[in-house]
Amino acid sequence: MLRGALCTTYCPEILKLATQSGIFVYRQPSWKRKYSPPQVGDSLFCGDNMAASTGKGGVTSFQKKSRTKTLQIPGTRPSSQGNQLLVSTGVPSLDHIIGGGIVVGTVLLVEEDSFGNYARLLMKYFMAEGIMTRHPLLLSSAELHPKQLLRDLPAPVSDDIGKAALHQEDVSSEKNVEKEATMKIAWRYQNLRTEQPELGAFSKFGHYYDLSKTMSSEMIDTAPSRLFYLPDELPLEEQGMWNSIRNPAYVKLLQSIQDVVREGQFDLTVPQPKDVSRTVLRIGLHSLGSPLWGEQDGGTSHDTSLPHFLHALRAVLRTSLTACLITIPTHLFQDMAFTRRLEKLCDSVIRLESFAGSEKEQNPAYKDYHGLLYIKQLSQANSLLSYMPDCNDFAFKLRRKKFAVEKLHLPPELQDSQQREQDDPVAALKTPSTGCFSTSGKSKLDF
Amino acid sequence: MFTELNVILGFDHLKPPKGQFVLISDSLTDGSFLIHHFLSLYIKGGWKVCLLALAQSFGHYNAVGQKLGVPLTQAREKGQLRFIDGLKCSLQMYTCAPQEGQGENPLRALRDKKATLRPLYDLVKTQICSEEGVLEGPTLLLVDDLSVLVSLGVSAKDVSDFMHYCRVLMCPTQQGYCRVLMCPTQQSQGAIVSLVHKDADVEDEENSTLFRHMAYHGTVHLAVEGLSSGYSRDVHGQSNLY
Repeated sequence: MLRGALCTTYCPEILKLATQSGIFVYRQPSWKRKYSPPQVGDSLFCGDNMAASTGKGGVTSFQKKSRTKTLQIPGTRPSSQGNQLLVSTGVPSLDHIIGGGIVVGTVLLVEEDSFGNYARLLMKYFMAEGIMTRHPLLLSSAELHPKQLLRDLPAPVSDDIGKAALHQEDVSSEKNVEKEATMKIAWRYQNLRTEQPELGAFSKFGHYYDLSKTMSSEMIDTAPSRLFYLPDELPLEEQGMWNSIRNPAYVKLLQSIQDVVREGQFDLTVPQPKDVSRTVLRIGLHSLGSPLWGEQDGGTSHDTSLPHFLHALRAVLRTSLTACLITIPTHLFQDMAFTRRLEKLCDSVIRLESFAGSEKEQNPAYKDYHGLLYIKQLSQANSLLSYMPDCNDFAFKLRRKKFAVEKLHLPPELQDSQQREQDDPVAALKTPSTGCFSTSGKSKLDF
Repeated sequence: MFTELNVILGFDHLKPPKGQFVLISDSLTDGSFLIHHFLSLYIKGGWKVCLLALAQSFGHYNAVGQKLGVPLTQAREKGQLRFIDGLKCSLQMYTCAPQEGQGENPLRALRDKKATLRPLYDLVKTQICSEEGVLEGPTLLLVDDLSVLVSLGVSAKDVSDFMHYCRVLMCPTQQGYCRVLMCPTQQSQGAIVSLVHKDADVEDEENSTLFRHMAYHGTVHLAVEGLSSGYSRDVHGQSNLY
């Protein structure tokens, strides 16, 4: 509002200057900005047709006219292809290979590794990113209490970011005071932002986390969250007793998702009052379809309650501002066709395959990694073609502080393996930091 | 969009042929781009189109349509496009209580194992036919995709029956006539395009049954397959025509 008032006083001056000197008048973004609602924590508003490209540090006032209206929500960014909004998964390297992030309104399905450790880690990253970007959360689980999951989220790496979030309002008010002094000569630079970093707090896309520390509980409490713990929501005696086609646990879950979407005003079909700024709901469904949810027969008899749940969930998501991450232990399903049907009902699908307990653990080719990551399909929402990654061979590794996804590279000189194998233990002893548990089980010469 | 494909199929892009039952199957890749192709082809050709959308929302088709130069919102307002929102029906079916609101829902077969897809057929019929039960002008029925119904628990036989009724409604010529391309007879005003997933690496009995039935009904079969040599960034797959 303050800026709007500022530009009404300022605009005649531009015109006067222009007519006197006969120079060309650019259409400043501020002409339109006074009609737009103020945005919390963001001095730029991309809702105008004039995209505010000056914010990127560009000096020119000529702007490409963006075709569609894009919502500007903290913690989101438009995709490279155009009219889609992305949110980060919390793992920047994973964002990169799936085309920038999770498209708002779609489901990312993570097929769990055999012990579920890495899939749980991804879920934690997703939730931590939600807290850092002030997105409301909905977390459901049947085995571990969602509270416990939330309690050990990874801590964000740089502390000053967190502080900046707290001091956001002070800084922005100070900035406005500074801006009161209008520029007389270089008036064209008036509307450029003075500095960028103060935005960084929660409008930034994708943060880095340190797995060795946990996020402070005050920070977790700042995020509005709805926790869905199956035994609390649905007593155990009611769970087993279903003879209709639908599994009551899933029905209950979908109802609570719908409630949150309705109450939190994430529904795009309902017109929104102007003064409320939109934000994105993050839904995390941990270990959906595990035996605790009542999937007794392992998908052999084509139980249709889970596919129907996913189909109904898609209907809810497509009309609301939500992004969803689901992990499903698909290795428990005996029928591959059932898994394939579930995949078709989700939008993006990745599968984690951990080396723990498998022969690949011993394989020298994989000694740098903890598992493989397969991209099975990527979201096609609003476009003819999904994002196509350069290759499909990815592996992930877990360091002490972070989880990262990389392109799979074979180590050099794999063919003379006999000699290499003799060298390996020595090398592992020399550099203990690389000796993670996947390689340490390999040789008898260790200790 | 794909002019080469039109040439190969013998489809005139200004005057799409009548009486065709085009079956699209995909294996290890996604064939839905052909759905958009036929949607834009027939809308541009001035046909009435009934889109039975079970897999995606209207916003998705509209966004893609805009990129292809076919504004679907306008077509819908003009009445050229009739849109049946399968996602919404499925959601209603999932959340409503067992007694209420089932009477009208076209997908009530998802809840009631004894019910068939007849209400869905009735809905399609009221959308595309005049009161006398005949088509008003050339009409295309586009189904995206049939495998969703199978995934949601409808038996392949029911889906097959449904499509058989649709075929009789849309292209009531004999099978032999239909097989000759570019040979529209007087009666057949319609055409059908539908998509079935048929992944080669898993054995999905219901889906392959459905696929065989659809291949029997179909006059044109487009098979989209992933490359057997593996993933490639620039070439997404191959398509065969039967």
